[in-house]
Amino acid sequence: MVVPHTAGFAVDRELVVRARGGDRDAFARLAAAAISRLDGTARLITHDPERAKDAVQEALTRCWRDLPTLRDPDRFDAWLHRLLVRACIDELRRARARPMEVSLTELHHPTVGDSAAALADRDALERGFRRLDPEQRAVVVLHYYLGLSLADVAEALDLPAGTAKSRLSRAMSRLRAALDADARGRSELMEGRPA
Amino acid sequence: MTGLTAHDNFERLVVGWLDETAGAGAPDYLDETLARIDHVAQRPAWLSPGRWLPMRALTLRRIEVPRFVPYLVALVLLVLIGLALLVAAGSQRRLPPPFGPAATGSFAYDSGGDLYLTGTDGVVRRLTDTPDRREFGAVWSRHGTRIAFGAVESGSRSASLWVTESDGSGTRRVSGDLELEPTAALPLASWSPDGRQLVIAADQRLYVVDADGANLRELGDGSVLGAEPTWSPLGDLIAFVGHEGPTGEDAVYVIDVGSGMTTRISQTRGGPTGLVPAWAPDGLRIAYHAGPTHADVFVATLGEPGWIERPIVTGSTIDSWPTWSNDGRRLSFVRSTVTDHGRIVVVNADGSGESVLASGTIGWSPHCWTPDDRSIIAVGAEENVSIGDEDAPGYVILSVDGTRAPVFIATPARQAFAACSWERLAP
Repeated sequence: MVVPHTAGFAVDRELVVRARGGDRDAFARLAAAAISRLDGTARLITHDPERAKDAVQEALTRCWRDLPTLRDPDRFDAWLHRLLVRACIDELRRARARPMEVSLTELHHPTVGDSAAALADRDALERGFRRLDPEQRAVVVLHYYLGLSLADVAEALDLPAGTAKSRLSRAMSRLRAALDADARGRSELMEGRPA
Repeated sequence: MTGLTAHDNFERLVVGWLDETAGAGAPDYLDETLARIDHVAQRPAWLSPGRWLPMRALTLRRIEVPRFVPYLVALVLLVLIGLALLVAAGSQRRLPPPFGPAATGSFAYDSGGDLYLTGTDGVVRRLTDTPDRREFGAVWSRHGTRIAFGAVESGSRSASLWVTESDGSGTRRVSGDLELEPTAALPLASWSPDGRQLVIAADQRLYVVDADGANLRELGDGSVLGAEPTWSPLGDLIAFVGHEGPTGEDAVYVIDVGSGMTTRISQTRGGPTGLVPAWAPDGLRIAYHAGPTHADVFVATLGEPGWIERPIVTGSTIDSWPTWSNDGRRLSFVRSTVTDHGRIVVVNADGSGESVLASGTIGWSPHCWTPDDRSIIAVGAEENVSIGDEDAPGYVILSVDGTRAPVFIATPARQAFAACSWERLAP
């Protein structure tokens, strides 16, 4: 298991308790500590900085509004992630209701060296990730970006553990398939065959 | 083919790509976000005490039907039919009017995850006994023929809405696949005046459903997100606490059941204590508490130019949960301070004639009038018994005219929430 850099984030329990009691300064400190990873998570799920911003703001607003109802301060982090994922999915649903401009990027197939291959892998990952539905993206992001265990992912998404596991498995399979397809294309290019 | 695409390091590649794509810098909208949140009030903790309750497992317990000797049953039925025909005309239960004073029947409440009815004779009847499911938030229909309640299934964080007949028969789930907030302090649903429909909130959207679970539909276009809906006595409007957009401030709104048109009613900010609307029996006035630093009582009245907000009770105390008497002439509310639990205060509809009811220890939570307007019931405890912020051991019945001493009712699990509902009987 590869450990993401965000793993091990510790929430200050005392701050959660104070914020739960209405202390806005405490909440501001919690928000300041969390906003980078929230923004990163939302960017990955929504694939749009503006929608990510809207989702983070909605999640933090709901967090503040409903914080007194959180019984266990130790579950703050999982709860906040759940609010964020729900806000991201809401954003994407709203986006689907609006006409969307799709920008097409021309694919270049330069001579393939080691570094170029890495770039190509990442391009392929990006394309594969875009093809995942929001729920699958959320599972991948929570597990591999935030470093949550599958049990924590399941809790954050309010899913049975088995569902979270199978959803992650399917998402990773699709990403692998995207990489495989891209690698086959590059290989054929190197061998002078049409892609 | 590269080594990476051989998938030996597939996970590492994914993690690296996620880190790069997410970006490492702190976003620049923290201050903007906090400024928006400055205008947002927190929901009181008691609004979702379901989160504070232990979740219990779920499945309906089947009612064991005893075996009958068929001939005996047939004979008994014949006798009963004969008797029924004799007294049919005079024995049909008269229904009370949906609003206005009525005779007082049973009090419905939840304790320890089951529903109970306590009659005016003090007899307690257990309405549900489901060790695998937690029921809460019972609310009688306005005619006193059915009870709606919420239920939380094992392992679930969301609730569903159920309806049962007054004798506990015909229990059915009516909220479809909607995931409702497991609130216990306020009823999960509000009945239409004719008792044929219910309004509920799920994920901040309002839904109307028939009492048999049919015709579930969303109200409005979702431009105003809302919760805590309550149906107008006239049946045409539903009041709720709503906000426009994720960062809009909470306000009291009404939505037209037919057209879905939404109108903001309250102008004063909700503040730390929230807003919960209460309809007067005439359907033309809505009471609520609001205020940025403490709570005052307001009444919005529907007149020719539209809804007009007017403060009824102001001051430095926290005056919350205004509740109309059934005749619509008086309002009660909970008055509390930082150091003191609540006292029930009764005023005339214009705010005059304030009187504080003698009480035991009253919780800071909603309360309700008996249908005959003689008493008010609130969550609480015996005199000099301290109660926590989350729950209380029972209910305190207070005499409105002060002629009777407060009565404390301990609930079976010594755990009471504010959702309280009285059965209305024909006068």
